[in-house]
Amino acid sequence: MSEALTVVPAPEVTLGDPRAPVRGDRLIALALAVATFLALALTEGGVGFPRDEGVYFRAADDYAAWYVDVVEAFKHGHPLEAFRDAAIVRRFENNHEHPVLMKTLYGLSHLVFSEKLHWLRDAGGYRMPAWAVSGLLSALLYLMGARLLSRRGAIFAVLAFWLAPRHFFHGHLAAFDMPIAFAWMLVVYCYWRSLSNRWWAIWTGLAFGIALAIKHNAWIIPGVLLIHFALTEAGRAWRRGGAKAVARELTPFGAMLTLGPAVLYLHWPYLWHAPFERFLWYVNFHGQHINYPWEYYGTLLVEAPFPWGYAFGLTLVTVPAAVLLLIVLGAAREMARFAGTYLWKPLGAGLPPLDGDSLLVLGNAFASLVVLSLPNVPIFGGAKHWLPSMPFLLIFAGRALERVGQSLAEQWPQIRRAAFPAMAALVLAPSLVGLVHNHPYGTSFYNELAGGYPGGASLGMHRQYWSSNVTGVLPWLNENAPSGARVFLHEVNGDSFAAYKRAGMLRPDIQYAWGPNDSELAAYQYMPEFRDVELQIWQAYGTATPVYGLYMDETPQIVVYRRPR
Amino acid sequence: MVAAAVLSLAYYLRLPGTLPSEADYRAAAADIASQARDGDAVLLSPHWAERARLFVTGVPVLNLGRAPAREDLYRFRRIFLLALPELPRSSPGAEEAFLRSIDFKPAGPAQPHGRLSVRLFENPAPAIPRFDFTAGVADAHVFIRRPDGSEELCPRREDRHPCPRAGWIDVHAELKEIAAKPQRCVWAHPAGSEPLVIEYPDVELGDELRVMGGIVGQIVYRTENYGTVLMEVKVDGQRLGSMDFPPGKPGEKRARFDTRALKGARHTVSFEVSAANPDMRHFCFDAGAF
Repeated sequence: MSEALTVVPAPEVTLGDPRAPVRGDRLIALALAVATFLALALTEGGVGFPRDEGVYFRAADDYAAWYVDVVEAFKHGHPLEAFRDAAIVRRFENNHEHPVLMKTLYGLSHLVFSEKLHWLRDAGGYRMPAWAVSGLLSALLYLMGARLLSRRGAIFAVLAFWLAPRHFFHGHLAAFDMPIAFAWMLVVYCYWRSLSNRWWAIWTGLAFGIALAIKHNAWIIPGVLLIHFALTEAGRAWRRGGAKAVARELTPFGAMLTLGPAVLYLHWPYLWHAPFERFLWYVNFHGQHINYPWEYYGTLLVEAPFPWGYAFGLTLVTVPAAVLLLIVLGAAREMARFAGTYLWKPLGAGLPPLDGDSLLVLGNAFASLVVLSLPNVPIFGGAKHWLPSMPFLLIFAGRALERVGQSLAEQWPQIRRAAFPAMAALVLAPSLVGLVHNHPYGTSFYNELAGGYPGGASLGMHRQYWSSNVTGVLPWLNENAPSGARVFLHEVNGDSFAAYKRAGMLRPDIQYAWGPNDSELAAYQYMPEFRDVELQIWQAYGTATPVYGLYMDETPQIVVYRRPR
Repeated sequence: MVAAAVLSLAYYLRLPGTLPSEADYRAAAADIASQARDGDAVLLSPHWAERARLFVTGVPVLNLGRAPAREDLYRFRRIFLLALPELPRSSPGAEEAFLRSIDFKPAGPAQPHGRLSVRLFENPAPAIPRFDFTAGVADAHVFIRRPDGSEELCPRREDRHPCPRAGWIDVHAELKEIAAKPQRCVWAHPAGSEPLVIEYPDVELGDELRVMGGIVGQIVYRTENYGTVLMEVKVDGQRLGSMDFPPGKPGEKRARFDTRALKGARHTVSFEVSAANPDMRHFCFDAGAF
């Protein structure tokens, strides 16, 4: 087990399986899951609908409609009707560049909780499954962290994860970024459990299927686990029983290889009649995905090659600084242990060798960050694309905090009990303040190191993306737009525009305008690649003087112009 | 770690005290309005702090992005530097140094208005063109020169010259973004290898022709399948020089052509824009006779 357990006494361990939760762990995990769910549900109202989310809402409706088709077909005595390719394609053609697990859940949730039961507002109905998997992410992070670190350290890791404003923002959305972070954690958790309980190999396969059914980031996971297996389990198994033992230990990978694709195929009706052709189309789509422009330290990145280390450079200014420091301290120590264990002993001088569990956490902490830092991988979307790294990095942050707490306790024994909670509170306080300051504009957050929004703007960092900050000017538009006004909301697409109306965030009589020329009000969303759009508004309206705007600590985010009468 | 947490908290505690209020903006705007004359402009520091546009009216407010150039300002007689000096990572000294480096002189000390400051700079030698090709484009003769030398006319319609060949070949003056800066320029989307000719008869030339051009918007950054735009500058049919605008090279490109030998007399000046592959070549140029 982890070296940290020698530092921080763990609660009693279940006999036979050192990785299993002990008494009370499940309850704490459940409490964290519920708290996460409620925190997201209660703060969802102000979170705008990003461009992609509007598209997913529509796809979700289509996919849910197919399940209604199935029920109707059964009712009418033609059960096979809904399973014909034409019937499937009619419902699943839309947005078939992503698997459908989450979108189907979003659609069914909306159907049940918004349309039938009226328990949730329109957007909440779609988003609820995302909050649920976010809650499960908290539970898994706790369950793994409690064994690899300590209970309090694991709770710290969960809090640090959700108090990061960009994470909190993405937790609300009916998208795939937080769900794939959950699914990644789930696969790793199951694999980790399978190391001491072979039954978990099957769950690993199923979990990998779930990950595949959420987003293509999942393709990376087996490689990370294989490296871990090769460096730790394979050698042990070989010494124990030769090739047969190694093969036996490979069971989780066998399960991933078989159950993973099976789950992907079964959950996605669109693949049923043309599995290879449509799957290859899906793979090709992501293999050739165009990059969207992204401003990074004063340079607009448009085409590959992108700067090496991009993901690290962005993480440096988007994770709250105090937590970031703990991540750096914690991860640096584990990397030194890795170097001392696997590369050259003196590199890990004074540190214990890296145990297998820590190696697993280390690999998963850096996998997404490293992949997104390669110069030919598209970089649009920013920090959301390496969310799966963050829970693992925060386990290391928790370990670093444990060491700080322990050294304080050694120095001042009288504050032994208070040292860790006090330090945790001190570290998390700026995160909480930053979150309150930022919500619901998560894509705009820059940390204290960057100098917040103004510092980010001066550094030349991407100021926002996905159009969701437009919620900052919707109340003004509702109050000031003439009846039936045509309003150009720039990056807000037709799906999101309609969603704002359904959610009651945009007046029903306001009409969608395609551009400045056919509008009387325009809300420009500052992004460097769209600067010409603002000039088009000036040109069309004959004025460069706005009438309103969302200025976050002076940084223009959404700027509203009105055509002079 | 304790220091990082405390400094982080201090950052949030201090932040509100660095931000100007509406009253600060109104006071600064009133200060500028009370002194403003024709030929003035407001330059922002930091360059992105455009909330000032809500309050400052009657004087152009300039955001010149991260790469301002002397040529962006040489027409202005005076510049008000409107700064937010206390913002995190704010460095008004950098903008002041830039203005000084292009020979603008401070007319007095900075005037504080709460969390804002206004400082006036004067340009001792503003450069006003004796002929502005962008302003005069409505009166230009515009056509596409066919391979046999004949002209495919783009007849004037109000202040534009739409070419019948394609809707986007529509020569006119417009405000366009080149390298994150607003530029008033002549929209001259090439038609292909056959040059799009924008011809100005009867232009009085001076010492030099100054020309600026670039590809508009984010397409300039992309290289796949796009071609180079070539612009030839001719006087009385004789080639004075040329500029090329390859894909993937963002930023405005500038050139100066010596016309001292032609000074004082009237000439026909033409700009001939072509591209072997004209797809998405959103080209715009500005020129002046000085």
